[in-house]
Amino acid sequence: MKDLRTASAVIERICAYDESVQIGKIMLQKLMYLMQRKGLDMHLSYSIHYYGPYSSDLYDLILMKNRLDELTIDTSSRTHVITIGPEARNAELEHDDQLVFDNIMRDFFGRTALELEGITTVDYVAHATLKNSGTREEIIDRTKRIKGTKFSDAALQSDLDLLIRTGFVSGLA
Amino acid sequence: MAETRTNRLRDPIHDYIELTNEETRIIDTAPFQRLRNIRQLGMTYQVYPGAEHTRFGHSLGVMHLTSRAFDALSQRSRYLQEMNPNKRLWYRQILRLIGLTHDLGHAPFSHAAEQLFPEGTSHEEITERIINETEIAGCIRDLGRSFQRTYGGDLGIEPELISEIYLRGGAGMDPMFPVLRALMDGELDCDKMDYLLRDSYYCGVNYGKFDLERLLTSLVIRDVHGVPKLALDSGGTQAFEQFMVARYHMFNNVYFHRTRRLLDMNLTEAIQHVLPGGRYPEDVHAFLALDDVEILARVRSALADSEACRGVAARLVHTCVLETTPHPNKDQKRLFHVIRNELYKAFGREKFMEDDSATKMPHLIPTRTEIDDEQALNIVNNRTGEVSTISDDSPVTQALSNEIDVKRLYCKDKNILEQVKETVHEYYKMDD
Repeated sequence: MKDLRTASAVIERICAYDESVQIGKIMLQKLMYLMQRKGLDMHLSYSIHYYGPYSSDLYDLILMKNRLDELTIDTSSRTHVITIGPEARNAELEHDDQLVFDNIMRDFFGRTALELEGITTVDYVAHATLKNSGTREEIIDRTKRIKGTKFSDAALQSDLDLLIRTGFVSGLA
Repeated sequence: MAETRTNRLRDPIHDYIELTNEETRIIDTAPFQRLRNIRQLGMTYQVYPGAEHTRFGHSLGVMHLTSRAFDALSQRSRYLQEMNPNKRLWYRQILRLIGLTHDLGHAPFSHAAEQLFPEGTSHEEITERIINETEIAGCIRDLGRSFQRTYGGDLGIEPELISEIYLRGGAGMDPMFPVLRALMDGELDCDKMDYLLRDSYYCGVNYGKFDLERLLTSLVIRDVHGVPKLALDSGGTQAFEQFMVARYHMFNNVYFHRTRRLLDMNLTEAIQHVLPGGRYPEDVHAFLALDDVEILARVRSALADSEACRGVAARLVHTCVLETTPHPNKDQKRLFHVIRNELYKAFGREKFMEDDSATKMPHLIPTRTEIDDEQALNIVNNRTGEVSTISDDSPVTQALSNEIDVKRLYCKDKNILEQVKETVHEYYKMDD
C-alpha cells in the first residue's frame, strides 16, 4: 500500500488554487508530475501513455476521494471538472513541499491541459526515456514517436526551452 | 500461423488453448505452477462452491484471448496488414507473453489480502520482479532467441521488454506497444474478458456472459496524429454494453458479495497474523514460497492464539446488520455513518467489522471516462469516422458507471445481534 496523503493534500491545493480555472484529471496528472519531478515526493508511479506521463495511483486516488465526498467530479461535459468541498481547502504541506508547489504553480498553472501534455511528455522523454543524456534532436524525435503529429516541431522546441529555463532539463548533449 | 504449435490444453471457457514449446517451458516453471494454488477469487469458493478456479487457468485463458484479439485486429487494421508479417508475429508473441505472465505476482488468495504487500508495492510490481529475477527470465530469453533465429535478428524478446510494456506502456519505444498494453489493461481488455467468462462459469452464474466474438471482431486501430490507438468499431457498441453490464452484475453479485467480502476480511486478518511482521516478504523467492495451501497450513497451526485464524478455519460468518445500496448518495452515506457511530457508542466498536472496500478499490469498478482519458476506449463511427467514448455514446454505460460504493457493517457478537438489528430498524423508521 502506498502512502498517498501528500498526494491527496496536493490535489486539494491545486483544486482550490484559483476557482476561475476549471481543473480536470489531465491537468492534475501533469501538474503533479512536474511537482514530483521537482522533489515533492507523493509516491506516485508515472509511466508514459498516449497523453503523456500518467499515474494510475493518482487516477485511483481521485476516484477514491470522490467516493469519500472529498471532491466532486462533474461528468456532464466532455471534460470532467473536479471541484473540492470548502472543508478540504486548507490541506497543509511541509515547508519544502510548499516551495515546490508554489514554484510549479507559478510557472505552469493556467496553461491548458494540451500545453501541459506537450511539456510533460518532452520532460518525460528527456528525463526517463533518454536518462538525461539525449540531444535536443533526440528528445524531439522520441517525443514525436509518442505524439505523432499532434504537436508541431516549433511547439515541442518551445516546450523544451521552457523546461530548460525552469531547470527541468539541463546539460543537453 | 507461423508459430509451431506443439501443445494443446483443454479449457472449459475457450476449448483448446495452443502453446509453443517455448511457452510450455514457462508454464513448467515453479513460479508459474504456483498459480495452480492461487484461487482466482479469494474466499469466494466458500460462497459459490464451484469457484475453486485458479490464476493458472486464467493466465492461460488471457494468453489465448490476446492472440485471438490480435488476430482479429490484424484482419481489420490496415496499419497491421501493411506491416512486415514477421514484425506482426513479433507483436503477437510479445502480447501472448504479457498475457501469460501478467498475474505471476499475485499473493495467496489473489486480491483478498493485497494490503499486506510491502509498503509501496503492488502485485504488478512483484510480477515485474518475478519476470526479471527468476527462471522465467531465462525461459523468455530462450524464447526470444528462438524467435530471432526464425524471424529475424532485430526482433528480440527480453523479459525486461515484457514487463516494461505491461507496467509502463512502452510508449516512445515502439508505437504499437501502447496498443498491446491497451489489450491487457483498459476499459476493454483480454484480462477482463477472460475473468468475467471464467468467474461466471465457475461460480455457476450467468451474469458475466457477453458476446465475445462480436467484441473481438469489433476491435480496430485508430490513427491518432499518426500514432496507432486501440478503438472499437461503433458496430460493436451493443456488445461492449453487454460486456459492461456483465461486469456490473459480477461486481454486485460475486466480487462484492457481502459474505465473500466478510470472509476476505477475516482472511486478511488471519494472514496478517501468520506472516512475520504482518506483511508479505520483500524477497521475491520468499514471496513465491507462499500460496493458498501454505497460508491455510499456517492458519491451521495458529488456531490456539488467533481468533481470526479460528474464524477462517471454521468459516465464521458474521451477520451484516447495516448496508447501503450499491450506489449510495451523500445522504445515504451520511445515514450509514450516523447509525454506525451510534452502534459503536452503544455496543462497542470491537463488536463490529466494517467493509468499505468498494471505496478503496475504484480501479476494479467501471467508471465514466472522458475522451482523452487514458483508460477510455474510443468508439469509431464506421460511417462518419467520428470518435467518441462509450461513456458519451451509451446511456446504458452512463447509468452503469455510477460508482459502486456499497458500505457494510457486520456484527461479530451473536449475543447483541437482535438488539443491534432493532436499533438499525429504529433509525430507518425515523428516517422515513
